[in-house]
Amino acid sequence: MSERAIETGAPKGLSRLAIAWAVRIEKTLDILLGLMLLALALSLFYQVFGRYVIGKAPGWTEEVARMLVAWMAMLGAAACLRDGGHIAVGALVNAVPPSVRSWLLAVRDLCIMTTAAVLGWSGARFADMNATQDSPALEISMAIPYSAMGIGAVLLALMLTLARMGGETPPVDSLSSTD
Amino acid sequence: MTMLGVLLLSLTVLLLLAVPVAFALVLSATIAVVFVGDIDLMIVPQQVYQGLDSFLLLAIPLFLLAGELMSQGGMTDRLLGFCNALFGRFRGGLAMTNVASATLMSGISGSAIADTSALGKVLIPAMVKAGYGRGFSAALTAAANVVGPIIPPSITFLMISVLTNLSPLKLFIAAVIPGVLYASAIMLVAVVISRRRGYPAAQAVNLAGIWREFKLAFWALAMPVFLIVGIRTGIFNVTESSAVAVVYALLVGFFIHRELNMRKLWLALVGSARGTAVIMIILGGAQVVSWFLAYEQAPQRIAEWMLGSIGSPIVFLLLVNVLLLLVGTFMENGPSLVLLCPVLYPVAAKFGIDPYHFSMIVGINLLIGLITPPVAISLSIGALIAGARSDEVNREVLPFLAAAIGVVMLITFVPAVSLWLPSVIGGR
Repeated sequence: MSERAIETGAPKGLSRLAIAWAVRIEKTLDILLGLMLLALALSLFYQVFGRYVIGKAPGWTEEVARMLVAWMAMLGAAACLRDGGHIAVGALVNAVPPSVRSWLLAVRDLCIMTTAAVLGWSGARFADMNATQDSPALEISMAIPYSAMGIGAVLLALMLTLARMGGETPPVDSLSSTD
Repeated sequence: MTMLGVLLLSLTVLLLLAVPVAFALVLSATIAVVFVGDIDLMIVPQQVYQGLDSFLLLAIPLFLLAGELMSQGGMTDRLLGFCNALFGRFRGGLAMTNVASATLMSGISGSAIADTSALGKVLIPAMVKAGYGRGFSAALTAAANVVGPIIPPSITFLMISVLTNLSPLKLFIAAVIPGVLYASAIMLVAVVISRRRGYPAAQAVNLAGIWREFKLAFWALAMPVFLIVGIRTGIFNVTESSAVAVVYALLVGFFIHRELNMRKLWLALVGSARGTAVIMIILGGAQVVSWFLAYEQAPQRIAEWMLGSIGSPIVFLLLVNVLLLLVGTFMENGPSLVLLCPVLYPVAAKFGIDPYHFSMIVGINLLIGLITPPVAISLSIGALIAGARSDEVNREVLPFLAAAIGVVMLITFVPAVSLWLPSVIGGR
């Protein structure tokens, strides 16, 4: 684990407020993530249960589960950002002196912002374009699953901005993986 | 080919800048798309969604959750107790217990990292206290738990199944013998080193004691059998089995072991959901790159070039082994698989290599990357728990690494190791 919170001299009150908001958003996202995983497990279990007990597999379970995973991935990506939960290659940034390191990490954060901008902008257009199309089983607008990318990207950008405003640089973590 | 150059160059630069792998994949593909011109950037979110949207991949969050619930619900401790009753009496007994419990845990969880920390937290301090070296304990725990994602259920082979349209059940069955071979090789090395260094043996446990530990561990031991039988008889499919595993873990944890509570359940839900996001977002990002590669017809071109310049299947397999070991050292399994599968599988097919056999070579090779220094996540976790220096752990892992590579060579050149069991048990 690398050091947290490199001071950048932001005003104390504002920076504390930014971090407080970041923590609040993370906690909300965690609640959503936990509930979504619970719903995912229940709907797939109901799929097996329905097939044997009720005698027919409900059509909506698979669709709901797949939409939930997409939303979990995008919301979770924002929730993990601030404490370095994402998998990254730290070889170079961990080898250079601290001054160079903070420059490199600033460039890194710009790259993350650019990614969020691309995903947010074209994600919103993508969801909008498919808004009139309905999903096969639930017959809800495809904008509902597709807006995961746009909203996830906005949250990602927001979390990064709040972290930076609070004087934090999200660490480069090499210990998180799920292989 | 210039577009491929743009893609690879920007991907390399972004990765070196420590941009998270998922975003580096998305951004480098975006840069390449912008360079080509006249492609609407809407393709980026569309491909990200496609990478996330698969029935089979639904098993990843649920297997993660099931594994976490089983640890929290006391299954890990009971498996450990049972293994120690069996092996503790021998010289290097705790080392043998370590490998045996990793192997049994692998039938429950599909993740090497989760197993290394769950088992390591109990076993490494116990080993150090008994007189084993810190570096040795860390290296052994990391090496032993690579078996987790080899023996089913396995997130790695699930991903391969999604990427190649091979049967997940047949991949799971094919991986059993390679997994057992791997664990045996690690155990052998551990015993030889323990004997040479005079590591201790614990008091022997009599048959009544072993029976008692077996009864305690019964629900944990029965779990993989229950799942495999359920999938084989068609009661549920591989994805559904992960939801059944969650419910099984909940019932055992709440009502039989009585170690789960609502708080632990909630922590497991949030932790697994975050873990899912970290893996899935990479698959989403990798799908964008994968789409671009296909758009540029890169897999075909690379495959043609490989077929033209590599004479024999043997040379191809050796080269694949070297390539995968290198890639596995520096990169995560998920993105490596998404990028390499479309290129390597067609070539392997042209050389007449069975795809299930080839999958074992690909999967296990990449997994060994978890314990190849300098970038080795499992080793880092082991070292962290043991409080060992990384150079010490890196030295201690070498004999285990040699054994692992030996097993991969065996799997590579003896197809029956992978193909015999599926031919007997079958699989759709």
